[in-house]
Amino acid sequence: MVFASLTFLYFFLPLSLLLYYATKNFFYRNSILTLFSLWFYAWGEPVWIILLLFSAFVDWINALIIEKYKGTQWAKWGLVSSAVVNLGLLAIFKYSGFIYENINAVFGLNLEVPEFSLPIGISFYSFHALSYTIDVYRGQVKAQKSYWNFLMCVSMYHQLVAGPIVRYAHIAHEIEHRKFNIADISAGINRFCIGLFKKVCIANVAGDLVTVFFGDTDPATKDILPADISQLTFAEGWYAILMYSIQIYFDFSGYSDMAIGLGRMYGFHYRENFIYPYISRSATEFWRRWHVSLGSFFRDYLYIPLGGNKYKPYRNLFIVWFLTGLWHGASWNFIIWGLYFGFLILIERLFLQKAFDAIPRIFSHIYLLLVAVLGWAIFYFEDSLARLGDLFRVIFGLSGNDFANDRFWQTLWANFYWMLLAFILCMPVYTFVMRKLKRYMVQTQYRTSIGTTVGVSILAFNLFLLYLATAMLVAGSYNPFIYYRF
Amino acid sequence: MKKHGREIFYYVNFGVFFGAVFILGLAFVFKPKEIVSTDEKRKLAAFPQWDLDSVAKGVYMKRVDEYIKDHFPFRDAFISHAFAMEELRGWKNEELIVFDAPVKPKKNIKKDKSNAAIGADTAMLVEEVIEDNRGLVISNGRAMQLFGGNNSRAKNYAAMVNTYYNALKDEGVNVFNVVVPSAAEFYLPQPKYKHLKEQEKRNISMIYENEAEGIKKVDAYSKIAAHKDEYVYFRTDHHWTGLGAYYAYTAFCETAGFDPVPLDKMVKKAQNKFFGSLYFYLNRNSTLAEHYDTVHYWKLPDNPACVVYRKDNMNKAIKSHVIVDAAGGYSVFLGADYPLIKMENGPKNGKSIVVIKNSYGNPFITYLVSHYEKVYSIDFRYYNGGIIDFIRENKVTDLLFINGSISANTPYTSSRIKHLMYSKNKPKTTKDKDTTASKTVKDTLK
Repeated sequence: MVFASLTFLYFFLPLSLLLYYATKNFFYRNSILTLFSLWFYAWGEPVWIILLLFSAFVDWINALIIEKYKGTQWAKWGLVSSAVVNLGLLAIFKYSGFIYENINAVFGLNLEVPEFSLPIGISFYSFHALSYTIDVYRGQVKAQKSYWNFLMCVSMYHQLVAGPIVRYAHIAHEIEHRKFNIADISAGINRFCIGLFKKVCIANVAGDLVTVFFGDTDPATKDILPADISQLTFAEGWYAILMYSIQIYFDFSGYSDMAIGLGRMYGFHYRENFIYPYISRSATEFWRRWHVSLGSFFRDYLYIPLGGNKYKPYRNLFIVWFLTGLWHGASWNFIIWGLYFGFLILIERLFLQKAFDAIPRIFSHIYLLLVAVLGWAIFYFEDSLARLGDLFRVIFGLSGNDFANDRFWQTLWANFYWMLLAFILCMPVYTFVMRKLKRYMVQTQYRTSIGTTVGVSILAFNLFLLYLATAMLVAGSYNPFIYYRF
Repeated sequence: MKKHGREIFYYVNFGVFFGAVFILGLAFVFKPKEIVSTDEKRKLAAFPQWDLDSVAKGVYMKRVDEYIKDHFPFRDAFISHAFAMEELRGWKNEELIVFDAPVKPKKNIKKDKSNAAIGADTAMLVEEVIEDNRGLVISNGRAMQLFGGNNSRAKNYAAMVNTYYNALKDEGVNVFNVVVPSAAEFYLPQPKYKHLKEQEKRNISMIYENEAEGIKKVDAYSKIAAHKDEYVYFRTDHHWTGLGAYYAYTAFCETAGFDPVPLDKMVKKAQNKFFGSLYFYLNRNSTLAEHYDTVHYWKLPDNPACVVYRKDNMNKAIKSHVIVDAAGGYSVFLGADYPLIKMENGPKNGKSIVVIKNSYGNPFITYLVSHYEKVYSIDFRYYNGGIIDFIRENKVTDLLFINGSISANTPYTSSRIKHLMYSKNKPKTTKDKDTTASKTVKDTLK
């Protein structure tokens, strides 16, 4: 299931929350949450739910072994087996096709390429589970005695399929010490509505605009209906990757907002995953703001153990960014994309950062936006590097195509206000306004009336966002035909 | 805010949000579910049947999601609000071009199993039609499909008509062919679309030139062109109007040697506020909404009776009339796209005609009943029987093909009509549960 669907909004969510808060018993509440999470997962991935249960079981057992035999070889074996199982499943289900294809290509063989469908969320929950066993091994967190509780943490539907990569250590305390807190629920609703808006009203719209220029994959037949990239005009090429940059940010951060909001409705507090990445001034900063839970995972469990900045930092950087790229998908373009950022971070560290510090800030902003947007172009063309090449020729003016055409101007003007809104929302406007308001509230005598106004506005705003998202989701089912189709 | 006040706000926030969610959720559960959407011209999703395979593949869940979307409370209102908001995202030029391919075909055209009962033909047709027009243009409050035909398709269509002619010429059957230009031919803004100017004219000539000499070619084009400043095409629909069809009919009369019935010898009727297929297809475009259509139609004083056969039961003749006021919109002409209509109450002159058509032919056919004792309308998309056999069995004297230029240039049209020539299929009779659904479909339409 996905959050941005009528099924979730109007049936799953109210029903699960109602049953969840029906008693105060923790066993009951945890069970409801687990069962609903499994339902949520099975709605999109009915068969591979077995994999989730299995993976959670292996890590639960291993953690118990690690804790019991702390300091012995057994603990080490527990950790190794947990890593082998998690990464092994990931390798089999996500990367086996890719590995075979490359072996075939390199050795000129013709091995049959296995075709596994990628189980939803496996990249997220396997990392979640892995962080748990490592933390237990390091003694940073106690092993969970109950499989049922551990399963709840791994399967919790808020973060199961698209992150953030919640760490067990961050929510361990809340497993059995959550309180019904109306302030949390209310804040969770606000956050959820914002996330919903970002996903449905910004990301989905941007996605439709991308397909106008880049073409689309037919979801029913999996046929690729690509547009001929080499025929795009210069302006169309730039516009399309800009729209893709909008889409991917609002899609992913909207999802994280919804996850964080939902977590709070159930009494969990997840960490921030996106902190306005597009206002960064360097690739280094960008990755401290973009998908924070992934970056910190690689930092804490890979980069630092490898030696961090102290021991072979360049090798470490290469490994981390190679794997960061690969984590995003089993295709060379993702690896190139990861290494591209690794390279940028490297040159920033070597000299670029110093250079930027010496000139006005605007240049570093432009630099970051440019490299991020170009990065998304690499990220987009999963199916073919040749199409990526076509795009680069277009946007760097090497294709000899026109500057712009009717289709570009029509699309640009027809979405102009919306586009401005999207740009503005990439900046911390909300945070800025709220901070100013709070500062003002402390010193003003009209505290109560302003408070009431703000409260009512938030209420109305939430309803408005819900209405917008619902209207657009319902309109998604609008499928008219010119001829009768009965 | 004081602490107490804040607490109240939290509860109210919670209550309002989940109140809205609960109310709509409950409204969905208790709301009576409709079966078709006439706006969208399709069946709405039915609640899926449970079985292990469809659950394991996740198909079942997708169907439930679709069911919820298709039957959500206030669906029409939500949809029109969403489209209204879409227009607020920016501003649109007076002229709007919609680039269809490749974005549109992704919608469940190919693998729509819920529509399996209709047969693959219809699905294929829709697909082809989407392929064969080069997008849509809105200009001056009128939506137009851009013509996508070419010479080889024109020849292909001519060859199909020739095959019929050759098979029937020894039996003395007159073969007529009418190809009707589309609105874009006359109303595309110039000079911007000058590269498309008169391309349908050339294409239709190409069809006629490639046809055997004995085939009687009806020059509908010139008659319509002469009257293009009148209301001969709908603005919001892909069809021509009853008046446009009348001019084509006068061209036919010239070819066939009839005296056309003057319009003032018939009863003129009008139905206001017709929002046609292109309006809905273009997500209820607001420009088109302002330029909604009026359906004018002309009825013979006695409005001749006829019998129609529905595709779900070809053995059952249903009484109807040539003009069906209650059907509304474009369906006033012949009532609907029936596979077969028999109009057998014309003047007793021994003449009879089979018209091979799709919906474009409907208003045209309503005028023929004054000249033929028997008029048989066969919709090539839904009719399954052999056409040559039909002509022989009924001792038909004339055969007429009528198609819009876009349809004539769609490969499916030629291949389908050719396929029907000696088809041995018995007209389909299905008496399964789908019959009830189609019945409601028709009832809704009327």
